[in-house]
Amino acid sequence: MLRWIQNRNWLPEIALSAFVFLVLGGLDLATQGVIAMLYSLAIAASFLFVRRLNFLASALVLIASVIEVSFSLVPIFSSIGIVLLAFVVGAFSLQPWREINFVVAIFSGLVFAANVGFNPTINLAVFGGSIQLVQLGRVFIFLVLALLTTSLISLSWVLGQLSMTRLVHVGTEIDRLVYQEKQLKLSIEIAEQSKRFEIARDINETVVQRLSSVITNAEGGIYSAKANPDAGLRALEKVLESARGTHTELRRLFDTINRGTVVSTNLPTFADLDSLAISMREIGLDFSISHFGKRFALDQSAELAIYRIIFEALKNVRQHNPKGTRAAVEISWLENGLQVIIKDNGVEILRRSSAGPNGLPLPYEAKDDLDALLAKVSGPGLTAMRERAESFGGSLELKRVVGIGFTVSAMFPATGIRVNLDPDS
Amino acid sequence: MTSTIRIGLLGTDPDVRFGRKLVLSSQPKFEVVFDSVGSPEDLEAISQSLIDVLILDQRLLSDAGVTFYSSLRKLTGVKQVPPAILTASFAQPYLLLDALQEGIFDVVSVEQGAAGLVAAVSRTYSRANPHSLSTVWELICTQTTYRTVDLNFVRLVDELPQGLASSLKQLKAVWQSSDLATIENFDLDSLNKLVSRLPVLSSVELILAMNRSGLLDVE
Repeated sequence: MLRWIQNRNWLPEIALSAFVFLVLGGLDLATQGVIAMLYSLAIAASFLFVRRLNFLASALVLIASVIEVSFSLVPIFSSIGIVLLAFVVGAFSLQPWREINFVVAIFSGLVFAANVGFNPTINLAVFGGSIQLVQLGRVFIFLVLALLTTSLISLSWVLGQLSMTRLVHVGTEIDRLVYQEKQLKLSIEIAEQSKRFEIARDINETVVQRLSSVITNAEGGIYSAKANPDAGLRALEKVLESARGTHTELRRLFDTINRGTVVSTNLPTFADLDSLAISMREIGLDFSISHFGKRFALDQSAELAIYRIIFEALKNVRQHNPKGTRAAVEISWLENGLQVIIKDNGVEILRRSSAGPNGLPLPYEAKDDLDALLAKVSGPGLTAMRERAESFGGSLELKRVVGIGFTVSAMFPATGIRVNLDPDS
Repeated sequence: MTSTIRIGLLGTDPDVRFGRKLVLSSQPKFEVVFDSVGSPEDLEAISQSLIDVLILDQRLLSDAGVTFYSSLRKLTGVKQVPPAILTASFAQPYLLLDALQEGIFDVVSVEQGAAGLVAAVSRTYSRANPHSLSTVWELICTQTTYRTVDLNFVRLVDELPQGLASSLKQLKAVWQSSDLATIENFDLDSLNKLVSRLPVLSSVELILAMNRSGLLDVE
C-alpha cells in the first residue's frame, strides 16, 4: 500500500481526500448538519498536500479549526481525519514539514478538545437524567479529551514514520522474498564460480607442470643432442608429448573459464574500439576516442588487457550515469609507455538535471570535495581493471572529479606491452 | 671429494625428471645416481646412498620438498644430510625463505633454465653461498617470519668459545645497523667456523636460525 502511494503522484492524495470527505464528512453531515461539511472539506483538502506544497496542508487544518470554533461545531468523525492525517504526514511528509504539520495537527486536536469541553450546548445525559456540567467538569473533560487527542495524533504520527522506516529499511514481505530469491541465485552463482575457479586452479597447476616439462625436456635435448643424438630425439618426443598435454589442459581451462559466456573467435583489439564507440553512442553516451603520439605495435595479450580495461570503464560509465553523459577515451602513445585515460561527466549531467530549490542546478558543496578526497572507490570491476594493469607492470588510478564525474587512468611501461620489432635485439 | 658429483633427483613428474637428467648427465662431472618420485621409502634409501647433491622438487609424492628435506635431516642428522637444491616452477620469495630455513642451499626455478640448475649444483657441491647477507636481510624484511625459539640452539650459541662469539657479535652489529651498504659488504664465509660448531648446514641457515630464535635482535 505504502509503496503504491510512493509510486504515484497525486492519485493517492485525491483518493484519500475523497474518502475522508465522503465518509467522515458524510457522517458529520448526518449528525451535525451542512455547516459541518465545511470543516470536513478543509480537513479532506489538507490530505492533498501532505507530500507537496505542505504549507497548504497546515493552512487548511488551521482553517478547519477556525470553522470549528466559529460555528461551535463538534465534528467528531472528521476529527478522526486529523488522526489519519497525522499518520500520512508521519509517513510521507519531509522535514521540516513533517514536524510542522504534526504540531498543527496537535493544535487542531486541542481546539477540538476545547470546543467539546467548553461548548455550552453540551451536557451529559446519564440514564435518562440531565446533569448540568459545572466549570470544573468542563475543564476535566477538556483535559481528558486533550490528552486523548494528543496521544492519538502522536501515536498515529509515530506509526506513520515507523511504517515508512520499515518499508525503506526492512521492506515488505514480498520485498524480502524477492531479496531472498536474489540472494539465493547469487549464492548459487558464487558457488558455481567458486567451483569453476577451483577447477581452473587445478588445471592451471597441471599446465604449469606440463610447461615445466616442455622446458626442461627442450633444454635436456639441447644439452644432450651433441653427445647423444638419440637422447636429443627422445627429449624432443617428450617435448611434443608434453606440449600436446599442455594444449589439452589449456583447452579445458579455456572451456571452464568461458562456460556460460559467448566466446568470440577473434579476441578484441584496438581496431574494435570504433565499433565499441558506435554501440556506446547507440545507448545514449556521447563517446569519443582520441590517440596522441606515434602508435607502436602492442603485445597481443597487452592489447587485449587494455581493451578490457577501457570496456570495463565504459561499462561503469553506462551503468552509473544518465543518458547524454560524455565519455572520452584518450590513448597517449609515449616513448616509454602507454597511457589510457577514460573520463566522464556523469555527475555534472546528473547535477544539471536535478534542479535545486531556486530552480537552478544543484551546486556542489564542501561535502562533495571531501568525498572526492576521502571516499574510497572500490568494487570488483575496479579490482579486475587494476589487476589487469598490474599484470603488465602498469598501474591504474581512479579519481573522482568534483562536480564533473570520474577519471580512470592506466599507465603501462613500454617494456611490459610493446612488441620488440628490432630483429637484432 | 670424489671426481664426479653424485646427484639424487626427486620429483613427481617423470618427464621433468627425464629432462633434468638429460641436462645433468650431459655435464662431464655430474652423475645422476638416484632418481625417484619422493616417496617415504626414499628417505631411507637416500640416507644410505652416497649422494653429493640432492635435487628435490617442491612437488613430491609424499610431501612438499621442504618438508621432505626436513624429515631427511631428522633421519640422518643435520651434518650428515646431503646438501640440497629445491626446484620449483616459479621463483617465490616465501618458498626461498622456507627452503633456506630448512637448510636447503638454493631454490632453482624453471625460469632459471638448465644453466641455472647446473650452476646451482656446482655451487652446492662446493658449499659456496649462493646468497649474500643483504639478500637474506631483504628476504626477512619482505616476508612474514615467525619466531620460534629453539632453546637447544640458543644454548649452543651461548656456549661458543670467546673467539667464535666475536664473529657473532660482528654479525649482530652489522644486522642491527640496518645499513644496506654495510650489510652488503659482510662476508658470509666469516661465519664458516660457526657453521661447523652449530647444527646448521650453511651460514645462511645460521643467520635465519638466529633470527628465528631472536638472537640477532638482542645484545
